[in-house]
Amino acid sequence: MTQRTPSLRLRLFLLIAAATTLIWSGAAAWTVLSARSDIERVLDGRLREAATMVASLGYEKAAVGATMRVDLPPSAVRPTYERQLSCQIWSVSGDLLGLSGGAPRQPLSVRGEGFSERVIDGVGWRVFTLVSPGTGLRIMVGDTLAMRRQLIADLLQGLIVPALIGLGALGVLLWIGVGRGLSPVRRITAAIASRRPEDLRALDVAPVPRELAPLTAEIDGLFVRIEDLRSGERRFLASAAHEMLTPLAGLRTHAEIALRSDDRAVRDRALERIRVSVDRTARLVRQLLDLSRQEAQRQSGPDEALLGTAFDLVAQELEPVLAERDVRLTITDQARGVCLPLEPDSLFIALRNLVENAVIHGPREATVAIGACGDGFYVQDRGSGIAPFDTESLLQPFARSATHGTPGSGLGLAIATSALAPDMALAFREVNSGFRALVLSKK
Amino acid sequence: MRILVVEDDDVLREGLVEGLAMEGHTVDAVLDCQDAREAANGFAYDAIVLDIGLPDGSGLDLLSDWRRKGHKTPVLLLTARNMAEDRIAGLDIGADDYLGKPFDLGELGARLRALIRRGDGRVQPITRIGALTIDPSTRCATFTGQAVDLSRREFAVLEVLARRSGNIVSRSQIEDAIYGWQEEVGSNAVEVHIHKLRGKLGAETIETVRGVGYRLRRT
Repeated sequence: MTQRTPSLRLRLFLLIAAATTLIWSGAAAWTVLSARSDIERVLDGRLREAATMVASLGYEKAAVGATMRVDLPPSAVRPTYERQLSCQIWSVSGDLLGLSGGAPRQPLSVRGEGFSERVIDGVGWRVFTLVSPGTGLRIMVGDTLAMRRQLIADLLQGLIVPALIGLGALGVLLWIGVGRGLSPVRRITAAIASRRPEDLRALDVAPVPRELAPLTAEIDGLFVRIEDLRSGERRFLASAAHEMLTPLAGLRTHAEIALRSDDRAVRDRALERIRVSVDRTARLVRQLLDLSRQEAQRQSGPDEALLGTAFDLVAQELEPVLAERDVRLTITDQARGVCLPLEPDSLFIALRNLVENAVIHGPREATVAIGACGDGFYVQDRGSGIAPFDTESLLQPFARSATHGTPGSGLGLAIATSALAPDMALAFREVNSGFRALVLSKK
Repeated sequence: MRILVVEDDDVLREGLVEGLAMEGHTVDAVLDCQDAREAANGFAYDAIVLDIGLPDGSGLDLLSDWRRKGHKTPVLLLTARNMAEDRIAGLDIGADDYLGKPFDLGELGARLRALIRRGDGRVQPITRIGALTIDPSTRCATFTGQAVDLSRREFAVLEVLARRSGNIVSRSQIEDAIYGWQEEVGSNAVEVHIHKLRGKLGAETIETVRGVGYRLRRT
């Protein structure tokens, strides 16, 4: 079952969008903090400037005890923020000499010179207090904290809204851009999807971006390997058909001879050849099935099989051919105990084919001996063996010895090789008393 | 007719030898390219039945080699590779006919007769020489309209003489055409067959050219 994963386009988009948002958010936070600090500084500067200006107006001439109205200059900020700046002038004795419109009558600050904050009647104030050096008058200029916060909020809103709109636009552009950037992938996908199963030519999708070139090269390489495999299978099928049709042709020919001939000896000979041909065809079919089974079992994991058990099964199955050729099959006690890293069925098939080869291609009235050899085993017969130049080719299916005239399907050794584990090998060796086929570990 | 069979499967090879012998041919059989080369160089076969997959090489390569060297013996390819391209490749290399396995012995015999007939430049399947007619397909002969009962050997000798009608055929040529490698040939075997043929067809039908051979006369 395949797990659903997000599309490559979505993954790329999310990655880029996340990175962009992160960087953008950092920059925005920095901008907010910086802007807030700058606004605070500007507003504080305005308070200080206003206080200094009021101090320079010469209130020392004003009558003590009379409350005067102070008109501050128009605000430097937007009209909505006008009249938000309040001013109080206090005498040295603590009398309120003057105040601006909207300013409370309570002192805006109870602290000394400089900036301070105070809540009066539930309203927070930011105040700058200046003591006039000549007159000793205390001039307090302040604005409400609410106004300040509104100002900052308005300013930040002015920054963030375009930024958010820009981020949205960037997202759309990113989505389209990533989609266009992935168009070669879609092209390759379409080229593969539109192919017929038998079309194994290289992909025609040029130009391919550098990053995708290894992918297309690997796909083309896979096509080549599949084509090689299919060619091998076609050759195998053709050879299998040839090997099947030849004994069938022999069968038909002898059947016709038996039907046509009035000579009993000729008919009997033809029938005997029919029997031989049927046996050979049956063996070929069985070998093809063995080979097919071995191909299917290649995927399975390692196992263990005892040679003695496989020997008993082989001896039982080959009893008719052993009796017909008067061949004795023997095994040493040591060989019986040999344990090989194979499926029991695979060992049986490998041993049967090696023994069958030895019995069929070796002389009649002989002994085929099985013995232990290192961590493997050997099958020894008294036949003429295999010529050194034949050994490699005879491991291929349907290969025939150029030097042997004895009948065979050309599958026996290929099946034995196929049945062995990958770290095992088949070898051949002439010995004084005959010829050995050895199954050995490659280690 | 003397036929060479090149086939590595021993059961089929024996079947071909037996079956073609029943068709009246003299058959030699080999199982690989090397023996086939030697056989074709040593004897003048009337036709060759050649398998493609042989233990020591391809029958197609062998055929190609023969044709390059000027061998004109008709060759019938016998193979399990029955695809059209296989047939085309075989015929292009120089094969005269192609038969897929498994096959009918009667069809194989008919195709071989046709090949040999074409090789002799004849069109008619039945050979007529004066009052004598010879039908290789039924292995029957008639003389002055009457069927003549002939043994396999007698028919083979008559066929050899008829193919070279008007020409002298030596005793060794007759022996080569009617006896295979494995067969013992008596010193006067050919004379015996000729004598019997004269008895059935009339003494003047086959002329003896002293010291040279025999000639079939138009009567």
